[in-house]
Amino acid sequence: MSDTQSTLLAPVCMEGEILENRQVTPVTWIMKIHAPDAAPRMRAGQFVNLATSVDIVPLLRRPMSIHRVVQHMGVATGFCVLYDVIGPGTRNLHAMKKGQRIGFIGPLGNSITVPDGATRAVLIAGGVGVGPIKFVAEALLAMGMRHITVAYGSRDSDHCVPVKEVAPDGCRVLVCTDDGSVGRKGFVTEFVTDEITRGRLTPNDYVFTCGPVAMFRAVRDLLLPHGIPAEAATEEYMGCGFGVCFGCPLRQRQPDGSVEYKLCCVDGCLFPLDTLVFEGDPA
Amino acid sequence: MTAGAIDLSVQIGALTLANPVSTASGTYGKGLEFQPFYDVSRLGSVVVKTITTEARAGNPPPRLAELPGGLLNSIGLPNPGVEAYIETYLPKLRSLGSPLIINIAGHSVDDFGVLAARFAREDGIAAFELNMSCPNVASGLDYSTQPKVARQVLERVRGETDLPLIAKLSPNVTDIRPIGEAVVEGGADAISAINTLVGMLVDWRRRRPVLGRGYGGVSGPCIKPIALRMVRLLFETVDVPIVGIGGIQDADDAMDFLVAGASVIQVGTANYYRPTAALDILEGLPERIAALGATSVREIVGTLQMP
Ligand SMILES: Cc1cc2nc3c(=O)[nH]c(=O)nc-3n(C[C@H](O)[C@H](O)[C@H](O)COP(=O)(O)OP(=O)(O)OC[C@H]3O[C@@H](n4cnc5c(N)ncnc54)[C@H](O)[C@@H]3O)c2cc1C
Ligand SMILES: Cc1cc2nc3c(=O)[nH]c(=O)nc-3n(C[C@H](O)[C@H](O)[C@H](O)COP(=O)(O)O)c2cc1C
Ligand code: FES
Repeated sequence: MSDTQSTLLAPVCMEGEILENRQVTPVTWIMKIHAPDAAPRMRAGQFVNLATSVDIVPLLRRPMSIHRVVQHMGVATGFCVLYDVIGPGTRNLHAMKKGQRIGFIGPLGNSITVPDGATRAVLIAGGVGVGPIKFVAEALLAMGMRHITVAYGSRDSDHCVPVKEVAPDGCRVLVCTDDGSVGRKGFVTEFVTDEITRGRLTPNDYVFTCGPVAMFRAVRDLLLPHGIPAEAATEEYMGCGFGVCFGCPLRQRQPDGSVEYKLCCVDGCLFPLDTLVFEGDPA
Repeated sequence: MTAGAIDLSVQIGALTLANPVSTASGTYGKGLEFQPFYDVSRLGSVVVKTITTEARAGNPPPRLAELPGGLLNSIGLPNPGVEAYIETYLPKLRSLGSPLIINIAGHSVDDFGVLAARFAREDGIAAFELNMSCPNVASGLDYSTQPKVARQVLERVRGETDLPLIAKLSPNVTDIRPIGEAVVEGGADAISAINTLVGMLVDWRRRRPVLGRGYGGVSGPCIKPIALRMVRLLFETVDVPIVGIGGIQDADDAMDFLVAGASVIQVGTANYYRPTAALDILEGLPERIAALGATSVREIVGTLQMP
């Protein structure tokens, strides 16, 4: 990468105006932020670190995947995040109003790597792991990919984000809930099994997945026997988001078989799924 | 007096720094990470993350937990070890444009000497800060809880280099003054205070500590009063400059430390949530110094009037 290229992709630390903060499920909101300096730098799979308070409680920023980049007449002018309200930081976020300014650092982390020649993609999301899916799907469409399937599972109808917020037009979206209140009853991995069985998911396809560790593990166990690689968007508790606190380690298997700590924020947050070593995996 | 005419320069041993704003070890990475946000060369100095003789992987996660106005951490000094550091990072660090202060920690008194000797062979290092006080590694506290050992560390390093030495002390002691006296006798040119305060958070439902390693160190705005008092105590006790650290997030915090007795201040945890904090502080100092009717930082250092 040339120096100018890396400057153009470097994160910024600034404020943007909130253009919209709307509720899409009883617990999920989408915030749109005007950020013409940052938005053109944003790539699918990256995240931002949002200041949820100007005060010192909560002290740390909150990392959020970039849900979508807003385009105005072909120019990227802002971005959206999709978030569940679960604690003090996200409670502050959902109380913010249109017109207010919000501090952010971004874009942060790496972006998707689609193998040459891939013509199909399966994007697997569990719960609020649906955050980055729309941006990833849009990027794949922009690359000319035609066959994009999104498999999305959530707990129940209260947590199920409407399909139009999950993926752009032109994608096939499969929805399930644990209790069957929306879409199929069951786990998102069942869709993955179907796709593999029907020959619609092979080692030449691109797989992206974001969700809880239990889902990562299940997806990995399904894909591994078929030699299908996948890219996982991981989440760790973060102090800074840009590689200076060393607070966000996760364990990754190295080519020589050893296991090393990597930083979720700067080495990821995207990692090849089969290299990740989760809590409880054999060492 | 206009803010523009304020002399911000400060002195540590033979080293003159253009201004008193610096960064706390472990909170500023290698400094390079901040270059996208502002011109790092404007800072008076930069202190990088602690380096040890051998590579360290760091502690098991979770390594961080928040508390109201503060942070609990047990990072465990992950670093590639001195040789890999010099080879991989040092060349890039020389391009930061701000005087580079290398922070080292030994597992033994001798280790400190070995590290200093190794770095002393390299160009582009302005001073050493000796991390004698990391609470997150076995025996890390020992070097700054016993005056005799603290003095030995300084003497050992002094034997290896003429560069200014800054001894970074632990607040986890009954009385910090004898330790301060001991490091000065051992040859310290300045004292940094404070490192984090040992602490713990508990998740009672799981009956587990929140951090992977159990105990950790508390930092951030909530430790500022403790840090200010220790800076004051040291200022009254020893005759070397004090580097004030602890919860500094804006120019008013920095002024509190300068007036209490610090000649240099380091920005720590604030770098995480306000990455431009150090620069914002630098830009806020002149008008505040002018407001006290002074024309230089040196004039205000330690001018606190105790009751
Ligand atoms: C790279 C990255 C991308 C993310 N993208 C999204 C997103 O698109 N949408 C979204 O809703 N959330 C996302 N998250 C998670 C989000 O950051 C947390 O939900 C948020 O920090 C919670 O803050 P809080 O103060 O509301 O709750 P807290 O009280 O801080 O946390 C509530 C619960 O969430 C857990 N938690 C806190 N921080 C994290 C974290 N970083 N990762 C996982 N669990 C956490 C806590 O352990 C606790 O159990 C992402 C996290 C990372 C690291
Ligand atoms: C996550 C974290 C990592 C740290 N790592 C180091 C370190 O490697 N070496 C060191 O001397 N101090 C380390 N410190 C201590 C800081 O340099 C500083 O002394 C302390 O955090 C108090 O300042 P603050 O309240 O401004 O953060 C660390 C602090 C934090 C929060
Ligand atoms: S969050 Fe600070 S290093 Fe990753």
